[in-house]
Amino acid sequence: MPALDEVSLQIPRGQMLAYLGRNGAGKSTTIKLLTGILRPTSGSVSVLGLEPYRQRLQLLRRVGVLFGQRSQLWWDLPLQDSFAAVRRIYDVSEARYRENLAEFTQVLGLSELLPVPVRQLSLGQRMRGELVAALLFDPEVVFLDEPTIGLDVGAKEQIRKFLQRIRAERRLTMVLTTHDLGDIEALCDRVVVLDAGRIVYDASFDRMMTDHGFIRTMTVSYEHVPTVRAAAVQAAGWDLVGNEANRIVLRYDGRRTTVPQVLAVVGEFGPIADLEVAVPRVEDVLRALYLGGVEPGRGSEGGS
Amino acid sequence: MRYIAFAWAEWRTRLAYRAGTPLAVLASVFTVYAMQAIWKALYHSPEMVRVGGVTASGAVSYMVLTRLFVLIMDDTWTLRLMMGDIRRGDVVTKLARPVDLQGLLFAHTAGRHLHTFLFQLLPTLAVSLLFVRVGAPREPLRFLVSLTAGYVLSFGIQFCVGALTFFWTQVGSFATLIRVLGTLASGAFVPLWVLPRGVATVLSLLPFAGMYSTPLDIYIGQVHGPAALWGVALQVGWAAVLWSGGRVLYQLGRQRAAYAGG
Amino acid sequence: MSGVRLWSVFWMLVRYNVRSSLMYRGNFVMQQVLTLVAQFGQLYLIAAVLAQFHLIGGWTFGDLAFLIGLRLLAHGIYVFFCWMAITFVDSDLTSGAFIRHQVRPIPTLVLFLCQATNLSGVTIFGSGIVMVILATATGAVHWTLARVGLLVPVVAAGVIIEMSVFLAVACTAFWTGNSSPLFGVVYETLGEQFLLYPLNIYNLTVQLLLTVVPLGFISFYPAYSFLSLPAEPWSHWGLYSPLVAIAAFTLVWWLWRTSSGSYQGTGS
Repeated sequence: MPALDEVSLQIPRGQMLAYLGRNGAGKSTTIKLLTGILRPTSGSVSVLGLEPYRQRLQLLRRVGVLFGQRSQLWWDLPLQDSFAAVRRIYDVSEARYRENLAEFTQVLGLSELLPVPVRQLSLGQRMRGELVAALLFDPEVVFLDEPTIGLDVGAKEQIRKFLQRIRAERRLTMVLTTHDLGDIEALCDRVVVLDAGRIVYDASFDRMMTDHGFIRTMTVSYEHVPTVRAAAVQAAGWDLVGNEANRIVLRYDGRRTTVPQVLAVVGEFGPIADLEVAVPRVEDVLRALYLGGVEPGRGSEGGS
Repeated sequence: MRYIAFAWAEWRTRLAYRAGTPLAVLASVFTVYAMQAIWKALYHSPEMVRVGGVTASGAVSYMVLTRLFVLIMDDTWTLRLMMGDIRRGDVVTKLARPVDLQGLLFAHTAGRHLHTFLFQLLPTLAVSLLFVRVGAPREPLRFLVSLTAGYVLSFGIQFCVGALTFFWTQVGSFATLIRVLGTLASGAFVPLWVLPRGVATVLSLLPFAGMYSTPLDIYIGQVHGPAALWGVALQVGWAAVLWSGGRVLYQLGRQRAAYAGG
Repeated sequence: MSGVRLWSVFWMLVRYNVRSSLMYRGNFVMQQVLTLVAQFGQLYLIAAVLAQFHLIGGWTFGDLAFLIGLRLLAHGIYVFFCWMAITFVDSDLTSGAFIRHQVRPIPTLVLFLCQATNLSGVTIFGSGIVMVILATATGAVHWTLARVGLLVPVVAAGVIIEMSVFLAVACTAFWTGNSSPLFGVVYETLGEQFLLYPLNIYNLTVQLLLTVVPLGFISFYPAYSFLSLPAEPWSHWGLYSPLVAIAAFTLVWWLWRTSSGSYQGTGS
């Protein structure tokens, strides 16, 4: 069974792409094709004008790869030694190296950690180090495989901010594989979903939220226990998903129904004390996509 | 997954392929072949009819048998399990009382060895007999007694060293030393009757000789009668010392670990 | 990347590895002592055997000491640079960590081999020197300028041959995920036991095996150029060991590229 089946993807320079899919969908295979580790059995691959499999070593001088789950740093040695090694391996000029190192360590707060052996760093600190190592040689394309996995919220935020900044500064093209929706929301222009070796969704992030982010969740709190007329809710085509004490929770299609329309109905159940309308979370949207609530090819756009 | 953390001593576990697989049997057959070729070559001249009192065919039988013994005597499963468990403070060593643990591990390891015997040792022997002659034991009963004593003794060594893990984090090096001695000083690599008298005598008093030299000397008839009885007595003595010593060490060790808040 | 630069990156990686190794100095001394006990204990026993039997396959103890010593010189260097990577290739592959060697602008093989050094190699190399000196002391080797000069290419060839053979076995891990059984046969049996003694004591098939799988060219054949042994058809074969090394390495380089190229890795 092919790992990838008819995948056709164009990524313009400067785009930040979220490449999603369940485990086994074919994400790693794609990355391996793009970095020249694997050769395509049919079709062609081109990155920065080079053919990855044939010109792998040449290409990899301009491509950075970060694995959230595998360290590429030198475990027992001080962090700065790993950076020095990267400099030698990619043949970065002394001046450029110093510039980049200064900027990155300052923004990511790594200055005091430079002499610390990598094995003594916390996960968050190490991940920041891995990021620096992946960007130190000014790559034009960067592949990030689960860069925030296992990190606490604060660490994730720090990394996302850093990536946003770097991207803006350097017009990097990035491909991000992740299971973390916060990453996608914070960073990505475009979302591509892969399932069983095929692309099942490809659109800009905004478009995705618009297209599939139409479900609204309204939470209404009453002053006292309301008289809920479930039939009326149902008749309007909405979902009553919660009805407890003073509160009810409703779901409706935001494209067809406005808030006033809903209020007109729920206002009848009793005096309203509080109201909250929630926009769908990224995970709801993605869940819908992953579960195949989308037809292949639908909403395809080069995206930007 | 840091390679450097693997002790140089533990690398042998890397080579521990599953006993009984065709390649494992092939490897054993190769070593048997090498042994008989080496020793046939040594007895090259007609004057060498008897060196150390042993004929060429006796020597070859002896050496081939060491290669078969090694499959079981050289297995350090018990030791490794104990070292690993104790370091981690694991359940197995916590639950069982000392008596139980020793018996339990012995039973376990005997089971493994039965498997090795049936699926590795016997096939190797069968194939080897196609190209080498192994004589029958001179005194089968005494040989079996000695073999059993040697087997029990070898477990005793492993359990003892394993128990030392409680006291000594660097026990791995000591364990390696024991294994090296178990190969060189036991008559497994070179029979003791080839060595200078003094050296051979000293080595024969050590427990290691009880694993290979004593039973095999009895097998080829190099040692018989009262000398054989003395050899077996020594084996049994060592086995007793090591088993009870191991028990004591284990008891003490567990107390120590519990006291330290293990 | 130019050869010169690759060479300097290689040595940088080796220096890093040595520094890493030194951090685990813990039982280091003890381990080296054990290695020495094992090596020289074994040698002592062989000496004792030959004190009784005088010759094996026409070789004296001094000849054997040289044979073993020559092999240890090559083996020590192999162990220092390559042992870690090759011995633990299975876990590198099954854990998927192997991919980290594939995403740098440096040949995968170099990165793979340069993962870690094993300082025990120094002890082994040292043992080899002692044994060669021992052999000289017994009169087995008469050193001439030519022979001294020959030592370096022979040892270098030995390192490359040993590396090639074991790397070839390691490549099977790409296909089967488990190179252990074959590794055990080749490394421990052929590589260690058989090579302790001159190959002419074994039958023709085995000799052939150890010539085609060129382990025999590490020490046996070259030994003839140093020792005063009776002439044999293969007395000069040792001089070709550098060529054999190049051929072996070329083969294994190709095997490596094919194996790592079709290795899918973990994850999809």
